[in-house]
Amino acid sequence: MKLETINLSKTYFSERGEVKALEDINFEVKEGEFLCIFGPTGCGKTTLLRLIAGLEQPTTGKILLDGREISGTSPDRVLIFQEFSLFPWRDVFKNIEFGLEMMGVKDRKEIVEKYIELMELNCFEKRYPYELSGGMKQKVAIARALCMNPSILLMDEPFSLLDAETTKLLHRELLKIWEKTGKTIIFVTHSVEEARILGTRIVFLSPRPGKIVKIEEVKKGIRV
Amino acid sequence: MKRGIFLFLVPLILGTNVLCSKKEKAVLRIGYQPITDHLALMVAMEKGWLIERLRKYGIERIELKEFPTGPQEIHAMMGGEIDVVYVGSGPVIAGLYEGLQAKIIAGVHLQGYALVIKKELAREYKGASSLKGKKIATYPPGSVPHTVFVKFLMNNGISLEELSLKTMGPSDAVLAMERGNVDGIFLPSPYPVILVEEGIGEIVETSHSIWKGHACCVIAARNELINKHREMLVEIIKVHIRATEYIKTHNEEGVQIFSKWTNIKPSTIKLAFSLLDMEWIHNPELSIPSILEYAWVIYELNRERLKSRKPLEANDIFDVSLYKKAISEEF
Amino acid sequence: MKNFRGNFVLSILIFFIFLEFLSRVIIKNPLYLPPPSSVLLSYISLKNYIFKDIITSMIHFFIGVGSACFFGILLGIGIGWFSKIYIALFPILEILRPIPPIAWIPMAIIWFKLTHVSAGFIIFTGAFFPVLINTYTGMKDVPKILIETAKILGAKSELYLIRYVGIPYALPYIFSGIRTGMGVGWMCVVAAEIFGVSDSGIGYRLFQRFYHFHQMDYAVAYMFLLGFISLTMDAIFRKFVEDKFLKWKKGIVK
Repeated sequence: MKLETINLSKTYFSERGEVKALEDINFEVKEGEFLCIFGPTGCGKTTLLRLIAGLEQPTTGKILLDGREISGTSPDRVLIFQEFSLFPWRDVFKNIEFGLEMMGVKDRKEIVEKYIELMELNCFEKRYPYELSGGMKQKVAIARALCMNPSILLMDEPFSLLDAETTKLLHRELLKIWEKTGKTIIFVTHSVEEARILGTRIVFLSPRPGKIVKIEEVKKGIRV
Repeated sequence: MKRGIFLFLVPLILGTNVLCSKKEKAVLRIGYQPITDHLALMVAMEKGWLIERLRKYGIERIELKEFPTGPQEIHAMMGGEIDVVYVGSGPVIAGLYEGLQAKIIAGVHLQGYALVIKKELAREYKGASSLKGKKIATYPPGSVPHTVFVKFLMNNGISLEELSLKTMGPSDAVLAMERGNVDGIFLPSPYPVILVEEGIGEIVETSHSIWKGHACCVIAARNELINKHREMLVEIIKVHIRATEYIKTHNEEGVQIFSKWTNIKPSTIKLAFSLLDMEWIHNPELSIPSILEYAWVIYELNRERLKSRKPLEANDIFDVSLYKKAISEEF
Repeated sequence: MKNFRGNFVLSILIFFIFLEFLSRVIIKNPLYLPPPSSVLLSYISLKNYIFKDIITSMIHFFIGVGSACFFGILLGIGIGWFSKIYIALFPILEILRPIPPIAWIPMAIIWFKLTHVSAGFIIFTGAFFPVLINTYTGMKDVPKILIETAKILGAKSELYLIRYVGIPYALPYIFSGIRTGMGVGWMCVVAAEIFGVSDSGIGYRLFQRFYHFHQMDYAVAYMFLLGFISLTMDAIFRKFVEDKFLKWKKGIVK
C-alpha cells in the first residue's frame, strides 16, 4: 500500500481574502511506516491531515492511494482528532463498534472485543465517555479506528490535551500497537521530541504557507 | 404579611362598598343583554326618561353594561360591578343559591323562546324524543333558556345524556348553526328568527308550546339599594312600567330602537315579533309560579351541592312591595 | 432531605390554616375566597364528574401534544439540519410563533368544527413551538467533530448522520422541548374547552358550569386539579422517559 501526495496545495477563500495554508506538498508514505509531520502552529499540518482524510478538497494537486485518486472520506483512512470525539450517548463498547455498525457488519462482537483487549479497555465496556479520563477516551478512539482495519491511521496531535504522564504511557502503548498491527500511521505533532520518539520518518513543515522544509529519517533504535 | 392581607382586602372593600355615598350619587350601573326582552330599558334610555327621573336622587350618569348571557351578568353583579339588572330570572336564582345579595323587584318579559332545528331534520320532528342524539345549542347553565329546555326534556323523560347540549352565547350559537356544527338551537328572541330568515332552520317549538306563560326576564336590584334607596328603585320601576306600555302601542318605534342598539335588521325584528310569542310585562307576580319552578330545576341540577338546604321560596327571591308602590303612584 | 420534606408539609399546612381563617373569619364571602376546607370537600362532591372530566381533558391533551411532538420534531430536525429548509420555513414559523393559542380559537372552530380535534388543535398551537424550537436548537448544535467522525467511520448519507448522530445528540433538547410543550399545552386546556367543543373536561366544567353557577369553591378545586395533574405528568415524564434515555447527560450537565 502506498500513499502519495502530488503537488498538493490548499488555499482558503473568504471575504477577508485568501489564506494559503499549504503549498507544493510532495511526499510518499509506504506501508508500515510511522510518519510524523512536524511544524509550528498554523503551518497547515492539520489541513494536510484533513486533506488525506478526505474531509476537505485540495485546491491544486492530488492524493493517490495505491495509484488511485482519493475522493471524500473513507473508513480506510481514519482520522483521530485532537479533541475528544467519542459519542457521549454511547458506552465504550458501542462507540468502538460504531464504524462496523455503519458498514453493516453483522457479527461485530468479536472484532470489538479483540480491540478492547488490544487497547486494554477490558473493564470499561459499559462505561460512558463522561466517566472516562482523557487518556482512556483517546484509547477508545484508537480502538474504534482500528476496528475498521484502515490502510492508514491518521492522528492529529491526539495526546496534546493530556498531561505528560498519560502522554508517556500512551506513547508506549501506541508503539506497542504499531508493532503488533503493523499499521501505517501518519502522526501530526508540534513537538519535535514526540516526533523523534514515535516516528520512523519526520516531515518538517515551514510556517504558513506550509512547505516541506526537509524529511528526516529517524535512526532505528532510538526508542524510549 | 400585613401588606398581603391589605392587598387582599382592598378589592373586597371596593367590591362590597361600591355604592359608597359619594359614588352612588354619581353613577348608576345597569346591566342588560341584547335581546328583545330588554326592549323596555332601551326605550327608557332612548327617551331619556331614566336620567330625567333619577336626577333628583343625585344620579349624574347612567352606565349601561351589555352582557351576552344572564349568568355572566349575575356573576358581574356578585362581584359588585352592577347595581340593577335586566336579566333572566334563572340566573338570579342560580346567584341566590350561591350568595347573591339581591331581589327581583319587577317583571320584564314572558315567553319568547323558540327551538329551531335544521330544515332537513325539522320535517321528521315529532317532539322531544326526536332530539335524542342531536347537538343542540342554548344558553349556559342557570339561564332561563337552559332551565326551560332542561325542564322540557325532563317532562318528556329524556335525560341530558341522551343528547349533546352545547352551551354558549347567542351569536356563537347562531354561528354554530350556520356552520352546521349543531343541529338546532334554543334561544331567546330575536335570534331564532335570524336562522329562519336565512333558510337554515325551522321553528318546531316555541315557549308557548313548551311551557305556556313561563317567566323570562325580570329586574333585580342589590339588597343594599332596596334597603337604602327605595324611592329611587320605585322611580326606576315607574319608568319601566311606562316604557313597557309604550312598546305595546308603539311597536314600529320599538323595532327601530332595538335595531339601532343591536344592529340587527328591522325586518328580522319584525319577523320575531310576529313569529314568537313574547309578552312584555311589569308585574312580578305574573312570574312567581314559573320562577319557583326554575328554583326547583336549578336545585335539582345541583342536588349534590345543595342537598343540605331547601329550594328557594318566594320571599327569598322577590320583593314585590316596591312594584306595588310604583303601580299605585302617578307617573 | 427528610427535614426538607417535613418543612414543605408544614408550610403548606400553615398556609392552609391561614387561608381558612382569612376566609371564614375576616372575609366571610365564599365568592371572593372559598375556604380551603370547602375546596377540599368539593373533590368529594364532584366525584361523579371528576373522572370523566379528567379523561376528556387528557384526550384533548394527547391529541394536541401528540401532534405537536410529531410535527415539531419532524420540522425541527429538517430546519436544524438543512439550511435550505431553514431558509424556507423559519420566517413563517417565527411569525406564527407569538400568536397566543386563544387567538386560534375562531380558526379552530371553522377548520375542525366543535369536536375533540378542535380542542386538541388549540393545545397543539401551544405545545408545538417549544418542541420545534428546542429540537431545532439541538440539531443545529451538533458538534462538527462528531459529524466528521461519523462520516469518516462510514456514515455516508445525510439520513445516517441524522439518525445516528443528530438525533441522539439532540435528544436532551428534544425532551426538554417536549416537557415545556406539555406544560404550555396543559395550560391551554381551559382555553380549548370553553367554546362548546365538548360536553366534559376540566376546562369545560370550570367555565360552563362552575362559572355560570357561581360555584367558586368548585372552581378553585378544579384550578388546583389542573395544577396537580400538570405536576404529575411532568414528574412521570422526567422519571420514566428523560432519566432513562439521558443517563449519559449526567456527566455533561453536572
